Amino acid sequence: MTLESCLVVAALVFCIGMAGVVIHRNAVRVLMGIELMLNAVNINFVAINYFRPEGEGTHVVLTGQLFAVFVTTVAAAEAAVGLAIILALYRNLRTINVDTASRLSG
Amino acid sequence: MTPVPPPISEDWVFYLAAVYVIVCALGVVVMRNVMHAALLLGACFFGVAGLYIMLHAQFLAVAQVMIYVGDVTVLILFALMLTRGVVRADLEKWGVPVVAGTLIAILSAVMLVTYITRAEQAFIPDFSPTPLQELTKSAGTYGIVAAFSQQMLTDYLLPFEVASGILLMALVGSIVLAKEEPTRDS
Repeated sequence: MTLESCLVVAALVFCIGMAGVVIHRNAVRVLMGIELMLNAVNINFVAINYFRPEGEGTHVVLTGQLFAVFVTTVAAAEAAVGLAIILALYRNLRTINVDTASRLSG
Repeated sequence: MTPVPPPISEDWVFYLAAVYVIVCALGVVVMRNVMHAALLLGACFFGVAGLYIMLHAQFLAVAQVMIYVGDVTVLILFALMLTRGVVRADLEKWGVPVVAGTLIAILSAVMLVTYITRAEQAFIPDFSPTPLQELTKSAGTYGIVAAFSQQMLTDYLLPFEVASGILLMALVGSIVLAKEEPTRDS
């Protein structure tokens, strides 16, 4: 278990999530891809905090883990609002295909 | 003083969790059935919690299970069930988005992995025992949760409060957005 292996895992999960965002037309699956990407970022934060910690002696600054907590908070808020928007979209257009919802694109 | 059990340091646990996370993430993207994809997403979040345990982030691992598995996955399943008429129509054909997405993902993965493996030589060398491991050993069976929460509620108090404000706003906003509209004519 090295920093390198952690970063590689996070990079792979991030790229898989990015592929999900680009490939799928279903808005819920796009959100799933975004969640995967956010998780990859969190893995990076925690891994770097673990392998390259700051601080002196036994006092370690846990900035990476705290940032991951805040990322998690924002991700939860984003999931709630995003899914509420998807429900509103479904009520109005009877579809959650992101290509169909093109009324704002000029 | 009772001897403290050593932290898990077997590499194979980490690699098992890593392979599990990557396979589940691939399944989330590749699965044709949206329900299967959503359930695999929950499994993937469990694997990430395992990675956090290996990286001595105990609080974050439990928070991951509670927030991602218990909240985000359930929300996604709810959204899928409420929009279930369109779930069947999600089978992706081979087309420009699929090819483009796969290409973009593979190219970025190659680029990122190359940079990471090259850059490792430029990093400062690893600390032999990391301070975090030492701290975990001296903190007893509870790990670094005490130090973590102490820092969260002192040094990072302002972001903590702002996060609670964001959560409140998201709560109200999602209720307003998802609420059934009464009637259009009035």
